[in-house]
Amino acid sequence: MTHAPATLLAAMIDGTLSSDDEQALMDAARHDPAVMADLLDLLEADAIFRWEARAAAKVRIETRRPPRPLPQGEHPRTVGVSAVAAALLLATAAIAIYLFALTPDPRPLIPDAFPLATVLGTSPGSTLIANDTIVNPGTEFTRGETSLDTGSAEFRLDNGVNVRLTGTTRLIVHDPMRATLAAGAARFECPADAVGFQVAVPGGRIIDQGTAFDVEIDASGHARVGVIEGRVDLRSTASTEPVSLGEGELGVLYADGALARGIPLPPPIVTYDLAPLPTSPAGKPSTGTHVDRINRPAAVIDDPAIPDGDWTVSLWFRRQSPQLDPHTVYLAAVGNRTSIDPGWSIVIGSGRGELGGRLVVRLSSGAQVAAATGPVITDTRWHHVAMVYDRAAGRVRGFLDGSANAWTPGGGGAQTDRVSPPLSTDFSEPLRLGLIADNVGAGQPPVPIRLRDVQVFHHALSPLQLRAAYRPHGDAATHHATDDPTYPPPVSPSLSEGDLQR
Amino acid sequence: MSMRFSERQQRFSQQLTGCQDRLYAYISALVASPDAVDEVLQRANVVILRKADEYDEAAPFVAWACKIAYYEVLGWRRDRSRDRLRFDDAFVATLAEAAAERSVDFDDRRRTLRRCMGKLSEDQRSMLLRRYTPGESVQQIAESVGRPVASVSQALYRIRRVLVECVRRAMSEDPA
Repeated sequence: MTHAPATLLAAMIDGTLSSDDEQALMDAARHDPAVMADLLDLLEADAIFRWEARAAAKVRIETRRPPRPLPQGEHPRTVGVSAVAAALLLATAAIAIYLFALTPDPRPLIPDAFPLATVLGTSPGSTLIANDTIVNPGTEFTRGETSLDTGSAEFRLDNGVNVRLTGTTRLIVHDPMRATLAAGAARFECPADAVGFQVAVPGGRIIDQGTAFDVEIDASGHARVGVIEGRVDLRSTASTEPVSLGEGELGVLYADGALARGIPLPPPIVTYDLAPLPTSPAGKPSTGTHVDRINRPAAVIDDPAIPDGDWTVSLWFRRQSPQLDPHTVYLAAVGNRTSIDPGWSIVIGSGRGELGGRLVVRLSSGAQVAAATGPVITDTRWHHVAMVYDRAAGRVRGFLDGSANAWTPGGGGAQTDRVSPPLSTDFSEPLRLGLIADNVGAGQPPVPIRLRDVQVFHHALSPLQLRAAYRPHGDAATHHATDDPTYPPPVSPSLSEGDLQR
Repeated sequence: MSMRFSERQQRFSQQLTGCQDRLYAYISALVASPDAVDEVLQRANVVILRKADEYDEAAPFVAWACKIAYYEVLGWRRDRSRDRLRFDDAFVATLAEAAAERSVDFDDRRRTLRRCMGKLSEDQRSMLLRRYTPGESVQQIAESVGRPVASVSQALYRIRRVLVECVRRAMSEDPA
């Protein structure tokens, strides 16, 4: 009796095909392309399931097995070439197992009850959930999904990989060598023993080569990657050629598998390079741009195009003297002429006040103030400063030279960097660039600070995007690639500097 | 003593480790027993490593590796010519050609297959996972659920068909 192709195919996959049926199946496949296509698809699916099931089981066993201690007095022996080859093959197979990340799947192929991570800490007000359970510092958890609502949380996998989640983030830990970042941002610090640790993202995988690196997934599923130290490989689902990123380098693994070095920024709404402003015959800006300490800014932009939503204002500034100004200097401001006036500002606090010359970003409705305080800058190099407003979170953040590390909540009367409910930023005020505090009289020495490349973005740029804004070429060396060693790389080569000291 | 690899060796190593799943699937199409697949894959890896210097980097790596794997399959079949082997040599050659061509889109199909798994019912998914748990067989599943082996085999077949059709649909909608 000849069975239907479906029966033959089912028996073939499950290994119960008789000799006669096998001949019938071959005949059917030879004469019917549809049967051949079914045969190939079923064989491939069967192989994939076996491969993944075996890999998952192998990883589970290997990660739980303690190292065998050498008996006292025993020394490693010289091994033959065949043993080395076998070891290489095993290593190759092990690496291969780790290289093939599963796509995000909250249900692991093989359940694993063994804990593989320990929570190190969470920031105040944040909640870390692992496998549907809130976990606190010291708690161990098993493979599966971890999610963070806000703030930051840190945990360590049992192979020493340190994972720090920031903001609303979902990370699926498959095993100590593989995780999938489904949303949000995370930093991974991998010890030498964990070389090969990989993070799957929608467009491919990020494979550690002994390093620490940041990954952010944006709303479109694109993964931005920044290497802090060491090296990582970006391996796309669409390409066999990985892109290798070294220390300080940035890259993007797009959701469709495309790879790029560097992180492109969204186009700014507007860029003010200050140079095109009309100037007087004496070489000074002609209209409302003379800083004479009677409340007149270096530049006024009547329609600054600041959206009433998420935004980022980014600029470069340089002190021309290390001496701190006795008055507050507004590098950029819309309203907000005192810390509680409605509006927002990026300021250098008065050298005499409690801020002691620190950088401050501040947003105020009059009743509510959100602010963040940064470091004191006394050198005369060019620095990049950015203020980011995340409307949904009601949060302002400051970044200096691509980093938010030195910034703390509060400053100028504010106790927090958040406001609730989030503020509208439609202040109907012009944008003023380079402004001295209102109550300073004329005739005093000019402000020895210069500004350039002021940009407004209709996005709350991410930390890695701001790192890219600070390093537009992804290479710290470019900061010194001009005649003036204190000069930053221009945002655009055609832009020239503006100067508050007029 | 530290050992340094040339860039070419590193690239070669990355490509070899990066195509292990494809090689496994390729060999699985030609060899029935899972143990035999492992054995042939290991043999093929040895030969691929040995022939690393002969590899022309301008050529597609997976196609080159599949060719070597195919010869290892033939060698393995020759060694076991007295055993009952799945399919005759001519049919294996036909399958090998078709399977090598499919390796180009393998990653897409594998990813799509995982997504399609999410569309199965809990019972279907559970049964399939159990089938592929190491040590489990169709016979064991049949015994535990009190159903004939053929019935379980057909149920598994229907699940696989659902997945295969899902992958085909997804691939035709988004061939990239």
